[in-house]
Amino acid sequence: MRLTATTSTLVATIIAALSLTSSVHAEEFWSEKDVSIVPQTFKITNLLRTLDLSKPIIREITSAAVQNIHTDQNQTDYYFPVDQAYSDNLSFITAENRKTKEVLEVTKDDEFYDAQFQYYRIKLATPLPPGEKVQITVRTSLTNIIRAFPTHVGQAEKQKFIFFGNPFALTAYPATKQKTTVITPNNVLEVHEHPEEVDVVVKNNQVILGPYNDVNSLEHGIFEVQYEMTGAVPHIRSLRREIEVSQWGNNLAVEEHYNFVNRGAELKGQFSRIDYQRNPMGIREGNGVLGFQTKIPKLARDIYYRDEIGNISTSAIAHQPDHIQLMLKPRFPLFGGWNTTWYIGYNTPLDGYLRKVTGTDKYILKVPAIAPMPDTTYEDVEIRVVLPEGAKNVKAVLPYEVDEIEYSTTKTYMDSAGRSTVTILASNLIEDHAQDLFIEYEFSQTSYLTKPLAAATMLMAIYATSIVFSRLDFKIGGSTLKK
Amino acid sequence: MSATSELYTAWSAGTPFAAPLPESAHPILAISTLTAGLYFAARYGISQKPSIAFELANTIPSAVLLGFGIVFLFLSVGLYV
Repeated sequence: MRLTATTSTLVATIIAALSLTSSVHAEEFWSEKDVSIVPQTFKITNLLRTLDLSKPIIREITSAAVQNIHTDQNQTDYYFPVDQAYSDNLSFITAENRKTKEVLEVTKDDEFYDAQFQYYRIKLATPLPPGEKVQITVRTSLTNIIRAFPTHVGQAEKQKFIFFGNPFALTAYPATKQKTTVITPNNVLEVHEHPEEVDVVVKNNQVILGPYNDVNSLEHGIFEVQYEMTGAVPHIRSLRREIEVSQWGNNLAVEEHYNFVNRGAELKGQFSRIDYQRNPMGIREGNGVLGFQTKIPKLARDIYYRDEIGNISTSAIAHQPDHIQLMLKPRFPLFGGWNTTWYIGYNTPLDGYLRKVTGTDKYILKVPAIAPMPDTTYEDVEIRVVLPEGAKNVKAVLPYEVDEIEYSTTKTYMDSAGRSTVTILASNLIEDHAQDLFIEYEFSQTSYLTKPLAAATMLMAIYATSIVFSRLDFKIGGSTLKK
Repeated sequence: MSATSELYTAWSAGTPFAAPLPESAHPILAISTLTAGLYFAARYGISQKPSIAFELANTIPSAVLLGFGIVFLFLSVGLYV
């Protein structure tokens, strides 16, 4: 009862704030209300949107049947708007042709600037003739958007989350018909919506909003879903992944430093070890993080799992056909708000990752950017790749946008000139970002001799000193004195 | 997007990396080069009133062999330099 009253007042204040701001916005930012600034060359005949809330990372799948309404020009660019308020939450966006399953190129558009919306340009595989239709599916992943409500729960209690969203699919073009389905992991607890005239049907674990006819472009409202979700909200605050390439030793060394926090509902009161161990169901199906699973290369060896204290022995590996499944169990279970740090590392043969362009001195290194951890969001990621000494003209390429790519030099064991290093800084990554990172560089065969000759030079310096000193006379007194 | 697919085709067309020496040879080479290097160092060390030619003929091979020996020693114990 109290829950409903609180949420209703919460929604009411948000609605009041929105209605005030939306009327102000209409006058200030748009000359005509609800018309997008991108060229209106398409019309959406049917749109089906699914909001999947069953995991901590929200996946939104929008399938639209789009028709070219331009009179005589073939169209290739379809624009997809995302509210600027969600720009920090949008982690991953892909598009594909629904019929042919062909992946379409999605780029962040900087041509059409709108204070409220960020447009993404989706390039169609083949130009669409006038009057023709094509079906496009856009998949977006949103992170850090659900909130635990109530914020503190007991050790064995269920977690409830709240999600605020737009009942209409945000489109740059008017839609003749659209429908949104929200899927929750368990039965839906409560739904509130504004404006009140939108149709909402709640069925077990689905909320069906619509179908709505003749929706303007950029139509928005707000609706709220409260649902129950057990399990943690895994979040990695910082990841530092260091990859070291050794061509002398045919070895790729990987070391990853993690800082992990569980962003679920926080624990109310103290942690009770007795209650925790007495209830095996509570342990298995509770809200704590008991372990991590990640994939590492098949031929990885010398695998270690340590933290500041030392080695953590509660870990196991399972050999799978194409990778090794690494199962890590931290020293304590992680309830909401609890955090831990650790680092793992391994060595793996280099010939699976490095290839030489035949006939030249150019090498291309292909490594996964991050190791995929299911349902986990990464806040700050630093990927450092240390290349062998003598690598020149280094260039790093990633399949997605990152914050910064820096080129520098690092000095470690037996280095004279230093090793070229690539440092990549990225933020707000998810499992889907575990794609290949390519680094190309030039390395001549003579650069192999740098290390032994550097050591030889140091030794020769010692010998030379010895040769010179053996010919100097440090005798005190002696032949110069004459009796 | 296209830059990565370009690089992927270039990567697939390339020859897999081949180390200059097989890994199994590292320990043997380490021991042999270190022994040879120390032999020359010892020859220089125990020499009495040697000529410059003799000295250089022993220190230079010693330095080079010990240099290689150190690299192979590092590689064979797992410190991949």
